[in-house]
Amino acid sequence: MADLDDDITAVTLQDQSNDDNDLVDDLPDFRFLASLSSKSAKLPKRGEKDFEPHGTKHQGGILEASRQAMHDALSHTRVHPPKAYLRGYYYGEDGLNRDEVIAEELRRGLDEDHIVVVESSKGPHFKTMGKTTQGHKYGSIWLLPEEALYLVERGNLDLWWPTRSSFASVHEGIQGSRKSTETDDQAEEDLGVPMSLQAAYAMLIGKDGERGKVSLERYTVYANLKRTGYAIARAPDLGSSTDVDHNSPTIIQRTAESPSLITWLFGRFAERGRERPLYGPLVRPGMYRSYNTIYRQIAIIPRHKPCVVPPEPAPSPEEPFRVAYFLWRASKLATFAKSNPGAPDFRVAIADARSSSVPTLTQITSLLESTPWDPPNPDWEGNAKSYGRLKHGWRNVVLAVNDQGVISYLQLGEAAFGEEQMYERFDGGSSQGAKRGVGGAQRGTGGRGRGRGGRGRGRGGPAIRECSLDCVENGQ
Amino acid sequence: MADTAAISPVDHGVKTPVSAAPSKPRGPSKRDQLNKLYALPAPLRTFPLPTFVPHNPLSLFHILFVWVSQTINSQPAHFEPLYQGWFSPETRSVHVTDSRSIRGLWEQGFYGKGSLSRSEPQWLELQKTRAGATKTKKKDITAWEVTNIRRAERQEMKWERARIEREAIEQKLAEEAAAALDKAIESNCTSESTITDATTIEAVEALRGSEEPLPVFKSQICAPVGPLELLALANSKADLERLPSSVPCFGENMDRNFIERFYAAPVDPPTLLALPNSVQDCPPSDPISQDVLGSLPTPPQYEAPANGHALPSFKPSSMPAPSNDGAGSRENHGLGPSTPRIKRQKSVRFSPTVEKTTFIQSEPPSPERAAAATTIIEEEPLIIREQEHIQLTLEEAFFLSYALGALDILDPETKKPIPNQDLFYLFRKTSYFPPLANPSMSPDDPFMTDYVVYHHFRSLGWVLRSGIKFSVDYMLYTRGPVFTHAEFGVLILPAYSDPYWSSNPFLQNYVKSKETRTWAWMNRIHRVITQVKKTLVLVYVDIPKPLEAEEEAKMGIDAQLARYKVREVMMTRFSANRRRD
Repeated sequence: MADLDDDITAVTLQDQSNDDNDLVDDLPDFRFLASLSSKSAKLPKRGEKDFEPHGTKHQGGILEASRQAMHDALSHTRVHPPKAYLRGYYYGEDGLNRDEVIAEELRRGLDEDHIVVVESSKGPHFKTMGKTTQGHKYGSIWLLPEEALYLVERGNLDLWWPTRSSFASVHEGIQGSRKSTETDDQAEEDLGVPMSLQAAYAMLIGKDGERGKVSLERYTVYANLKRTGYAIARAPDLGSSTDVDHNSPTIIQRTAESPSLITWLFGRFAERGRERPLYGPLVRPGMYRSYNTIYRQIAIIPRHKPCVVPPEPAPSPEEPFRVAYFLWRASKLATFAKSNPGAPDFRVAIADARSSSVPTLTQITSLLESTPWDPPNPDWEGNAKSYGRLKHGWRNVVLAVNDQGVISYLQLGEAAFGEEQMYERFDGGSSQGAKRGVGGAQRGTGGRGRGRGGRGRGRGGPAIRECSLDCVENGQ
Repeated sequence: MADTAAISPVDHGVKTPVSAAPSKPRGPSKRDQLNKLYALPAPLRTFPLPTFVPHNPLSLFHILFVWVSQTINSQPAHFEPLYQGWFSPETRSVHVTDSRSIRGLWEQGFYGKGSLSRSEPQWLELQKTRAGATKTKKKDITAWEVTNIRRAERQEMKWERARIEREAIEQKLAEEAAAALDKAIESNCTSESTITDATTIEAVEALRGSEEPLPVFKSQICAPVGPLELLALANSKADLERLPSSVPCFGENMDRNFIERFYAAPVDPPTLLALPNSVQDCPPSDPISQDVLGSLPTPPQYEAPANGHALPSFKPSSMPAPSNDGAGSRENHGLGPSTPRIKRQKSVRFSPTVEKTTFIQSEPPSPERAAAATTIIEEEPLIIREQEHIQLTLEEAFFLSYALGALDILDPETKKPIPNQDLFYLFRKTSYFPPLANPSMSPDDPFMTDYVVYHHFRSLGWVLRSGIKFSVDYMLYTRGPVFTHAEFGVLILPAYSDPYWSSNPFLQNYVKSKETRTWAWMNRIHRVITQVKKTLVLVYVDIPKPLEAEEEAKMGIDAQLARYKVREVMMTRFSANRRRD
């Protein structure tokens, strides 16, 4: 249709420069690679798209420069200095089994999936990766399959098949490096066999439930986010997850008053239900002093009320719609500590686009309820911010839909349109005058005019609080 | 008096800040007019008491007086008589035909859609404009004309941009040629080696610094005018010759072919070909015939503002501005590419898309006969009867009738109002498509799921319009489509979380077929919605378990509706790159 076209063109014309839609989809201009040094952490931004050759040498020059920059970047000689050389051993199901080979006190604190041990913790990666064993004086560092594969893929890690004595040498190696006295001469004889990249993939990629493996969808998402610059960690298993923060005082205040609101709401419905004629109209004929009265009469469909602790908790989330990874922004990397990472900035669930479908209500409720309470900023007050409040929602989660390696990230938020009562704006400045008179026209409906209507209008929290106060008054 | 009392508060609320901003003493601004016209958010009136001013004790008496007079002579909220609509089983909608109901329903809550218009019923007005009842005053310009003007402006702007780009390229080419010439003259020694592009760029840069380009190239630098010339420039000519008809041309030199494709009069091909200046006379792709094209007499129907941008001498400066007030100038902002990203105010864009291919009977396509026709019009003014009605969707009609009680829906056979009870079952039965011979009353029939969502948002004060143009079920407007753009697109998804629906394998299969949506489907919709700068809201309607017929009857409609639960989930794009820092 013509006007649909128009809307689209209008939009694209308007903000060609600053659309936030398509940044991810476009390839960066490779010319910027040339100016990219290891010091500046900025990723190259895309340049302007050129569609057809127009014969100028200037354009040709740009294209050539871009190509050259890409070639330079690709042909850059990657050096692995001996100092940064890092060896890891694979102790998965298909090789030497970790639990059989390594004594229990040396693998305390590890998860089932930590199956790669590294010789040293040199390099920046171990700030966010790996897990150190506990209980022993010199803990060894173990990696999850996706972490190991990511490092192998990146060229930072050399993965080996171990022999029975390999781990001992790792362990001694760590101790040795600390003591800086022993030599590793004897240990080098029975190191094992180096593993190829293909073998690493074959060993580490599998199905999600399998021990010591990671599914390909997850790995792609992990690697993508890691490359983008996030600190990323596996979310704890749901059984042990005590993620919801119950301690915030404001939240407790809210929970304390939400039951009264609910009873009020339902009490209201019950009361109305009796009053309402079976077949309408819901707005009974008569005189009305405000639209609030009218709109409250037609509110018959239960509205969702977000709660910290939902009254009817949804079943615990199931694959694939459960949080798989926690993300921390790159800006937090400077102060990031594996042992105490703090609350994650985002939570990511990963779904395969081919084998899963759009989540059903139960799935999405479970997923959202497994994330912590995150209400809109209380400073966002007034009518102007109502879109912002609605869009932010009360809980949110990132869903990475992976279609054979092409990932589309969606953010899902628990919205509550019932918290934003647009009709309260209809009475405009008249609410002051409207407040007292309502009861007069409608027999016996007491405080329906809601004296404070004029003040807290449109604000999520305070308005609700006023409602509940009102209902207490009404009840008396 | 009561009426104005109902309207004034809404007016006051918005009028004060707006009228303060632009310093225009004359007349109410467009925004004020809109506020006044669309003062009522629903087809119901309210009668608020006047405001009490503490320092003016007289206002207390005013309040008392109004209160007493209203108590004695109570005014109903509903307009008497109620608006009327006719149920139309064939179109599965409700038709409203009398003009009072049409205007009332549109102006008080934006219900319905004109059967011959895109949204607001404007067909008659448009026809009057077309018939030559020209409007003298600028502010009388219809929304539909505004749209067309804006379209033309946008097209013009695109051509202007293309021209500037083209000129830049030309200049570059000239400079490069000059540089190459320079190089050839001054350095014979280096001429064998291929000049790398980098050095060329440098040379060009250097040359750009010098003020005067070589006089040889001055003639080339002069700006090419007109699309055809632009297209005939280097690198495009081949394309032009290959695809002569696929290049739509606007501006100074009209491409006849383009007119034909987009503005073809509904006459059969032989007639069209027999017309003077038809395609055979002047092939548009031939650059030689440009003069012929330029001197093409434009058929009179193209002078109508509908086709404004097709006029040969169409310039933004000569364009009638949509309006002089603040709203008008604001809307013009949105057209330029350099516009700062502001939430621009929506101008009234609801207007009939009477296709550009439709023509009035009295206006034949040939110029000579058109001239004759206009004289006839002058002799006896054409009387156009209103032939448009509005259509209410089943959900709109039921909401108006059942929830607000503001509409009587008449049965076309008995000519009597249908009671809500019958209406409820009638609409549920009718809502299946293709129609079922023996539809059963299931709690998830299309009408119920849609109506639950419709009622949910309407009862919160949102204005809902169909979202078919944006690939979703509904669009949510805060006050109405004439005031703001819709921010949210609502996509309805049924949910079956009641244990009944998973109680046996047959039901499980049924539920699965109803609930399953592929990601490809979802991403398509999401893409469209984000492209038009809106936010997608997934609205899950939790379907309750079915009840026996007598149980349902006992419950009443409100209790049945209260069994449904509505959950909204906001779906936005997560840009991993952007959110990183």
